[in-house]
Amino acid sequence: MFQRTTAFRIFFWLCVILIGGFVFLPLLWMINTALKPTDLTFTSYFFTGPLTLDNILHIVTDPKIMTYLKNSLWVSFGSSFMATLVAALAGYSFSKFRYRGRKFVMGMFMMSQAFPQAILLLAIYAMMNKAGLLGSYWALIISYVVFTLPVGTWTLKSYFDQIPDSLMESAKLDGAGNLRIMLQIVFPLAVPGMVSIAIYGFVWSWNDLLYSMTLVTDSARRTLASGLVMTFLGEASTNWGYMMAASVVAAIPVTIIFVFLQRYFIQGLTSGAVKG
Amino acid sequence: MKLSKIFSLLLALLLVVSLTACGGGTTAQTEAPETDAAAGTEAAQTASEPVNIVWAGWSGEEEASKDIFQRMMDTYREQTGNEVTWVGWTWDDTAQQLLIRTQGGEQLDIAQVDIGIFNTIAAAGVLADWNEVLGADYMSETFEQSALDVGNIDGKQLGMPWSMASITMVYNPEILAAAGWDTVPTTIAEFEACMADIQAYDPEIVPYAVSTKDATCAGDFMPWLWTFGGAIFNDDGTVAINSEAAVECVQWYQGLMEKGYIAMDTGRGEARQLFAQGKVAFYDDAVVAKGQAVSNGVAPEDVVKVCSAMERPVLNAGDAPQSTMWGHMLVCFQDSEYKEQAAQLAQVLISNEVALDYFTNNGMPPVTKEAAALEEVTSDAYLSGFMNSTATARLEETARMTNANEIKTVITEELQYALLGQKTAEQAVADMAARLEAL
Amino acid sequence: MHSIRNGRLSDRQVGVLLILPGLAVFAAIILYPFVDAILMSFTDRSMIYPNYDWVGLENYEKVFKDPYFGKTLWTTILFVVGSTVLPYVLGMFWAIVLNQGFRGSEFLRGVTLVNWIVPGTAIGFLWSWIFNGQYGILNSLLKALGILDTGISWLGQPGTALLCVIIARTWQMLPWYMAFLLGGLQSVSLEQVEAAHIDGANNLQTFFRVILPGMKQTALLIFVLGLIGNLQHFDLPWTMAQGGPARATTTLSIEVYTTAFKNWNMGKAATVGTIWAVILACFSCIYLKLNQDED
Repeated sequence: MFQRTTAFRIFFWLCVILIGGFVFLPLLWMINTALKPTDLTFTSYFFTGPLTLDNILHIVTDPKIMTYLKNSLWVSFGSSFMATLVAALAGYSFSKFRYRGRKFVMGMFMMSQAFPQAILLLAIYAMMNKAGLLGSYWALIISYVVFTLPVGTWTLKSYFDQIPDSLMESAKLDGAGNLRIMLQIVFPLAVPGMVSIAIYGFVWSWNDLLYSMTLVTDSARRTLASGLVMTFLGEASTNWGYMMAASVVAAIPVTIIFVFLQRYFIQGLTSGAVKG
Repeated sequence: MKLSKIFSLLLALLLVVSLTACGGGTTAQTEAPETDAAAGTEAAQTASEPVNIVWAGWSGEEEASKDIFQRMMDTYREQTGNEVTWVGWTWDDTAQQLLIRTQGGEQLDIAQVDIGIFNTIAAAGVLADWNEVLGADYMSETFEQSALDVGNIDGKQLGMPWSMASITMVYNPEILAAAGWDTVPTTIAEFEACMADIQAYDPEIVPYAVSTKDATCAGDFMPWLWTFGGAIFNDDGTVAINSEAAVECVQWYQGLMEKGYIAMDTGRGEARQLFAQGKVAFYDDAVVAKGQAVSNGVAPEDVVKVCSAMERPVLNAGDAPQSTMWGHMLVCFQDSEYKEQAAQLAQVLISNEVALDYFTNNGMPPVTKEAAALEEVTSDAYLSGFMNSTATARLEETARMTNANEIKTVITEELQYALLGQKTAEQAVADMAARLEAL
Repeated sequence: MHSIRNGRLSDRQVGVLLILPGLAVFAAIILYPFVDAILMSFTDRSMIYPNYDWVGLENYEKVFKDPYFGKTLWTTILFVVGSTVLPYVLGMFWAIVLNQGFRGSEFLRGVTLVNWIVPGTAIGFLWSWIFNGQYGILNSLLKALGILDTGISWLGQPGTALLCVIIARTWQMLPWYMAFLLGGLQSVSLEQVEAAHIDGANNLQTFFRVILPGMKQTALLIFVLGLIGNLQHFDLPWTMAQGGPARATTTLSIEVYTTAFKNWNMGKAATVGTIWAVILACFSCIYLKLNQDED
């Protein structure tokens, strides 16, 4: 894409060193700290001194952190699945069907992303309480669907836009019903887009602190984001070794998922909506 | 034909799922999803049947007291056969989480609260009167009247004293000795001289880790303000902070900052952490400072060697040293179905055996008349340092106000402006006053 | 697709049916709470007491008279623009590097994404440690290099605190921009790029005349998404600085949270939220314009 001129080479290597350093050094420092014995946490060696798995083991055997991790995985998977499904249906509807109010609803979906989340919380809390969902994962799952819905709907809509109507019409002539057209013809073509939306939704839910801090008061249902804050951001002095170990442990399951799915993620972003 | 039916069915199903979210929706379906809520909430149960009560607070989360709290709950389980579930947050989030939880109607029977947030929770009208739960006689037999008064609002005993002491200054005797100080400074002039010596001895040490951020900043500022003869409010509740004394106090803070005796971005957490590493000479803390040291590997009896309490230096020799009342209370909730069992837990917690464990390992002084008179307590060197200060301790001026947080936020922000040199002391104090009056 | 067959749902009906689940979630989680919040802004509702009164415009008056409200807006703008532009530009550079397709670039791409999935709170902890004045990693590094004599309290100074938070946010979000922009880069037609090169355009010219226009939609889309995301962003300023010192990191998001959940003043928080929503509606309009399809 670019000519390998001297200037470009300089740019390339500057980026590799500077951005690479910025991106990876803190991450390595995190791992480094997680592996240091607790009494050496504040020493400055970088993987060159004694290393131990004690912190990691402490975290892995801490039933609380493991509960948070499990909760986070449940909630993130649940909401990302639901959001993708709902967004796919909505995107399909926006793309291939015409009805009154369509544009208005599309606009509302988009705007919804801009509403201040902090202020929606109290009403959501009261509502979840009325529906009897507070003690379960549903309160968070349903709330998180909203994070992903706008972007998901729009991205998938542009996917569906690229599918020629003729494809569907010929299927219709062959006698295929709406459901079959959707599930067998339209959705499979949008799989990369769906995967990238699922990942997007997953990370949103995974990272959210605000909702999980206010919609969940029980430690048994707490997710990692608020769990880590509650465990490590107290007045009590912080055990950095444990904290970093917890961060590393928390990142591992998702990293594994990412290693397998990142190709889809970027592909999904490449060939969909976002195409110029 | 068929497919479209299945299709609409599928969508209807999806709708049900989404609509369960919205209580006002068409379907009133609320079947227990995925996991069931805490056991024991459904049917009313007879007293003999074991029940599960929910106990909330923050100390059970903290590394320094976590194990002690586990032991407390084990004792309760053994003695009563009941189950107890701990629900914990950080100290900073406790008031908020308690309010949310009581409004949400989730089970909550007993909680640990701090003097600072007690009034807020009490004002929400969710607390039960201990005099009704355990009887006024029991309460007055067990506790000193002065301790009961702290938890009494409008004649209702909403808080049961659990631990009462003060937040005062804590110092590291080893650092002071190394800097040439065998006695603690008693006046502000001496205090500054001492900090200068400490800085000369080791510039890496922060002489005084007074809190300059988060919720603890205003709390640390108040006793210094009193030391300079100022106050935030008059007795009639009007704002009193716009005074010479307050300006002097802020200027003094600014001076300490300029000389590098105190630092920005320091809260209680940072202070404790640096103190534990021997990088702080003085800071403000409650008796729980001990638990911090113990959990860092110092033997309970050796704590005084690295962490001792002292009286806050005074402006002029002979003034009464200032400190703020500090304490934890146990509160029982009106909506609790298990007040009786909650009261049993409270009684376990204040029993001599449990109180002594808490005292020895975390420094929390017992409050019952009986436990406070125990030899182990009266002869404890660590505690006596705190008790000297407690004698003259005052409640934080905001302790009885429901908008305490808001007031503290204003004070913290304006103090920060002054410390950062963005406002003069006069300006910061005037702005504090203006903002407090506008509340 | 216009035919309506016997016994089948019409296209219109199917379309509406498909949108219902999304609409239900939207109504429950956004619309109803939002209307509730707007109403709340005219009350003196507190988190402590269940009862409240209507107070008319009092809250709005208070907010507009608040000497710091302007500053909060300004801080929000600085934060939103800074933490969008910085990771955007760096993410673009990084995407260009990774798009070169050298050996291991795919691995690097995967590892880069890790930053994005480290829980935000952990990122907050990590960076507050890096920037800490007493035992911070940055200070140790600068001292070891002889650049500094005494440590700087990066998060303790208003001039640097916001920058610290922006840098942490940049670290967190760079992979996200990188991924989208890489997707964009890969969608640009190589023939056009080649043609430009043959016409004698240098790299810079090609980038601005061919590549960037070729991925215009992605580029704009994620920029606006980034802006909106940062406007909502709460985790990092909260875990790193709780809005301080001296309100230097108090963005609208922090302000709403503190007012409602720390100072218990739901009415005033709702007011700030409503004002914010109005401001945000403008952002959304831009976004909508970008997404407008012709039909």
